[in-house]
Amino acid sequence: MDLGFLPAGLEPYDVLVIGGGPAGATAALYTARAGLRTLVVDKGLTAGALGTTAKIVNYPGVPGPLSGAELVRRIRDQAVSFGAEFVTDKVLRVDLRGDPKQVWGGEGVYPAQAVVIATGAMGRTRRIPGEERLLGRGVSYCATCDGPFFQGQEVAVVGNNDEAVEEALTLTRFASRVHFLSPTADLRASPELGEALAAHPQVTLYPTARVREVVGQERVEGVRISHQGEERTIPVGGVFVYLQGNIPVTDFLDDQLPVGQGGCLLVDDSFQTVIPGVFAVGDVLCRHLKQAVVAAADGVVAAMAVDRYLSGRKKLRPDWSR
Amino acid sequence: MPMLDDNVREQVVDFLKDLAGPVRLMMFTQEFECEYCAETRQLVEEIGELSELVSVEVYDFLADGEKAEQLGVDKIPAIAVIGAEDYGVRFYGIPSGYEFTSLLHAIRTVAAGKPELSEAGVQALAEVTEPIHIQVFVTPTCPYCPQSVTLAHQMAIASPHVRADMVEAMEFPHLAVRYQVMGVPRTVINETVHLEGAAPEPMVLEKLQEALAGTEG
Amino acid sequence: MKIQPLVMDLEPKARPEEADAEGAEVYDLIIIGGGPAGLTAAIYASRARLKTLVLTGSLPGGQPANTDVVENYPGFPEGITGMDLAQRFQSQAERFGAEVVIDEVTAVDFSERPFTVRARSAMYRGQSVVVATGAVPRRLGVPGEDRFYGRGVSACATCDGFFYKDKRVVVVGGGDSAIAEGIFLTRFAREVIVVHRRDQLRATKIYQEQAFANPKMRFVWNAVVEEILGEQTVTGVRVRDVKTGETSIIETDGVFVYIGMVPGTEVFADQLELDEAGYIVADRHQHTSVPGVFVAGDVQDPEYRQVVVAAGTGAVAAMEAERFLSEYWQTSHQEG
Repeated sequence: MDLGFLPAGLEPYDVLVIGGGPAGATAALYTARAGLRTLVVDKGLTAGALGTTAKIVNYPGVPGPLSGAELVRRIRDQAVSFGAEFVTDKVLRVDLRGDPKQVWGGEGVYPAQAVVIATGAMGRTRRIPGEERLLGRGVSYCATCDGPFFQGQEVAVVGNNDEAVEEALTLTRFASRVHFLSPTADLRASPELGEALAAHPQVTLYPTARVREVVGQERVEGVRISHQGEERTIPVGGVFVYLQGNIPVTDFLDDQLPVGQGGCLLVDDSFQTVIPGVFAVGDVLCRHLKQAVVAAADGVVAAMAVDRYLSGRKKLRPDWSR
Repeated sequence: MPMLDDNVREQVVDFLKDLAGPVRLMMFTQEFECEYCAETRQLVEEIGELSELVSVEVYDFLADGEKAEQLGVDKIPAIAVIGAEDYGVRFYGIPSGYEFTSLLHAIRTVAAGKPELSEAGVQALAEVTEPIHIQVFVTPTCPYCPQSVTLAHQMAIASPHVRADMVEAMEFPHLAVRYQVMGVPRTVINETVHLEGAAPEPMVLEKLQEALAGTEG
Repeated sequence: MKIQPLVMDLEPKARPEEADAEGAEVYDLIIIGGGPAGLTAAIYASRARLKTLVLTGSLPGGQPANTDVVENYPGFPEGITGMDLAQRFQSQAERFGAEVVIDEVTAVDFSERPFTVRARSAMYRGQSVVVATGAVPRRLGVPGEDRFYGRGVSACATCDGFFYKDKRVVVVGGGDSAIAEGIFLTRFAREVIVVHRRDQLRATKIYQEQAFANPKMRFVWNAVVEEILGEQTVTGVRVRDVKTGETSIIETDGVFVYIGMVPGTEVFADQLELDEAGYIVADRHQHTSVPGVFVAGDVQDPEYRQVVVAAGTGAVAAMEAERFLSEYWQTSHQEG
């Protein structure tokens, strides 16, 4: 039995970066290289916008087409080589005004002196018809939470990234069959995960499936899709949705920071938010050009500002220095 | 074999070291037809060893039926977390996995007798005069669930009219069916009003009002 | 699993072919400077099908080309030599169709469009311009400095400090950047010796307090560096006391020189708004005081001086230039 996940006893990190795309991973690369204890909490290699971009050609210095996930992996490796730590976890909640600041993930709580928000803009606004009405009645966003309710039933997973694939594999432990509905022809997941999914005897793959509606009266009874030019309804008891959109991901902040139109974050010239020690970089910002190199540049400037913030604090609170 | 390893014990000791007052963990069990009673008992007994202010009392659900009725315990395994008074904080099913955190939080805030809620929340709950029963359905593998459980327990501490249960859905399948639980956390208030997901405090307060309005009407 | 290429083909921009009075071609965008900022602007502009010219100046590749190994450019976990990185930037820009010419700009006229850019070997005209001429650290001008530049003599602690773990370094200078970077170096080096030509620091008080309180920092006052010593690697510096005239040798593994930067803005002085230190004044979107002239990289950034930050501003400048041009084409089309 797993009795982990305790909110106590962890030494605060100097810097905690939420999101490991080009902006977050570059910030971590710089803070780690500056000798700051750095942790990046991220949902997985292909969770971000760049991770799901098949090929990029305009990242300077990388002339050949390179997959977005590969570029992100290279920046992460670089950050790790300077001592940054990465954990795969979903951030659920934060306390940005505390001392230390706290970030709660599914796997634990992470205290830190400074926080860099680099969660990107892959949030969704549009829902599938029926999704909201049947939420908690068969529609779910968490296979580990709700998988046990679908013991022996057929379920559908909608999505194409690492998270969707991992959750689908989790569901095979409970469901008799997992219908995997990918909006794209190819998965945007890491190859190992994609292969595991394709090889799984309980999984049926539907590339380029468009989900039209989640159907059911009191509870989910099926999912209506158009696939290969035909409309059809697959009878399922559960629908697990992992689609992505293009709005800034700030829901976990729970109104602790003011947001601009569309939920984007506002920062000053050094990428600091209105809360001292809390920074934001990359696509989560307002009026941001969604380019990897611009996001990476943000990460550098923010990392240097984090460094200044932390050394300023040490100056004011000499009892902290060890 | 102990359930809590050294690392976890150390963290529990640290978490419980500044308890504001004594806490009784009243655990209800029986020897048969209860899948996780033995483990739940062992778990609370091990926690009891880690703080001088936490005492553990074990009761038999049938033999001590009167005690169970007095505390409103109607299924097992059950843990009533009692401080200076009984705030109505309950756990049904084993608080394992992510719910272990909820139990520790409950111990700490029951010891203090003071809810960790916003001023507005405390105010709203002080005005409650009708009985409210909050049931939060969880699975041990749900990272979002402790937030809902802890919030419900804080509300119980804030008002003598509110009681709040964690209910582990897998151990009580008949309740999962009765309350149509197909996703967790699912919060059921006074049998009628329900809420999906780890909702923030204001949203849960709104639902409480809705449940109260339903009672009056 | 196969991944399909997602290289988008942008529609060519509908625009009039342009030529100046002498019939010479007019570029959509002229980029002055061939470092990371300029070449990134070229990658973005040429990919957006702008007719793009890069005038690199006499030293193509910019500052990184002088650097031995760039360890902190994101995307290269094994590090990359500065020269290699510069070449990659350039080949990428050329692949999308940018013309890269090694030529030095001697004069510009931004008073009317198309703008005029005069270089040593030719004169060019462009509807828009990105200035990315960079800034170079002021040199000491002493023997040994050139020979060890990039391998023992550095002007960037953020870039190179990591190489001096448990070593001893000398910092030359007494201003904010010298002291801030000196403090930064104490994270790696076992001893940081500040050599300053006066008997007190010019740096702000907070930096001074931190520096004096730091047990790893030592100060040599009233001293100037006369020579950087060493055979294969830097082993020391010879300093002269300006009051007594006596010389002595300080043993060190590295020398960090912070006696100021020189932004490459000489030819723009009467054309663009500059700040007191000579840097080009830019807003958040890399606009200068002249509409249609944009700026990127170290020439507008006295603070960060990092390859990827320069590249980021280059991307923004190119995208802003593109927007500027499409608005112009739209109006000229309507007028026509």
